[in-house]
Amino acid sequence: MKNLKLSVILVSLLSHSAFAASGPSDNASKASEHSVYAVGHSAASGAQVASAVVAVPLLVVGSAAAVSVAAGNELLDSASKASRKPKHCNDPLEVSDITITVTRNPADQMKQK
Amino acid sequence: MKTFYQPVIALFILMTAFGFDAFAGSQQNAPPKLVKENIVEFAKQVERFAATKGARAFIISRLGQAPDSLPKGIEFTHTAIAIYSNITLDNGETAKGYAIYNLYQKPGNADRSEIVIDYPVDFFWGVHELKTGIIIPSDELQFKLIEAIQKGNHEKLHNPKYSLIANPNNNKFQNCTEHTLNMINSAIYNTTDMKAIKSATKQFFTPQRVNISPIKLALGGLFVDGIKTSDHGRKKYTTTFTSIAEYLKTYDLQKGMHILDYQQMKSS
Repeated sequence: MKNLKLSVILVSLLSHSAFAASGPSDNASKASEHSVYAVGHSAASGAQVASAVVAVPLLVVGSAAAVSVAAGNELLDSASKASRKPKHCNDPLEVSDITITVTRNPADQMKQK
Repeated sequence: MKTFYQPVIALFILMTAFGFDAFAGSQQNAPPKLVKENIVEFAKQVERFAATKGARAFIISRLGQAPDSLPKGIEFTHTAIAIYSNITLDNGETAKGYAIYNLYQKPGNADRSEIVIDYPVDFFWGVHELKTGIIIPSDELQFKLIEAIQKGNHEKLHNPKYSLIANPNNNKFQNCTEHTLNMINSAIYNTTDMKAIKSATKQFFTPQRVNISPIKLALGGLFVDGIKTSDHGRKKYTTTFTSIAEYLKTYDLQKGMHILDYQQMKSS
């Protein structure tokens, strides 16, 4: 009985004091109680927030034209054949001012089937 | 009574003496309450920095716990791959930015992981400090990383058996940084054959020695999910952001490594 009590205490101590806090590979936004949308709604922030539905990688091949690889391997293959080395990789890229998140607001979530 | 408490006291002494708290966070290292507006601003700063450099694919990291609580040689706690993308929003509009391909531990099950695509603000949500390290690969490697993502290699190379200190020389367990390394080698060698990837890793990649006492690791492995040592020999080695940066630098496969800090970026 004494050993059992001791084991319980040891396990409890180890579990709660050492490794038990949030792990390095936690999905922080999923775990958080605070929504990115709440920041968007704050008057101080001024940040426009939107939920992402899908992200499609963009390539630049041969010229400055961006090529979406959404269409699948066929397009990617043709892009690859056009030039194995992407050019203009030092040219600045455009980035939206919108803060994009995986989080969905309740209204959008309800639209999901 | 005295007999009952002696082992408990002894354990406390052991934990203190061996720095048992200094790994993967604890109540002492609970994340500070960062101002959420600052996280949003920092995430956008990082995106803009990478975009200014013309990066279409880069390695991104974050600091999930106090730097002084990390074992020697480990600067960041989570690493992933960011890809310049056309992002469709829920209102039907599209926007350009970076999507991040992560290996995350499953909520409520630290022994298992899943592949999750998120965005910079999600990535930095809940960090300990607004600081990141980014590695911009060579143009050719960026291109090949995008190809690898497009082919779904991030899913094909995923091993859901998670260990915080996974050994990169085998595929028994995997963590976020090893998954990133696997993706890099998959892109370099045009393969998803794990044997070929691990062969390249053993030959050319120098992992980081894990400087944690064996007692601490043994106790952690016994009692806590997400920490395994059975994939290691006597000495423990794992993949880190810094060791990936060194790997790419050694073989002339990176254009630059940058440490970005919110306060410094704000003041510059």
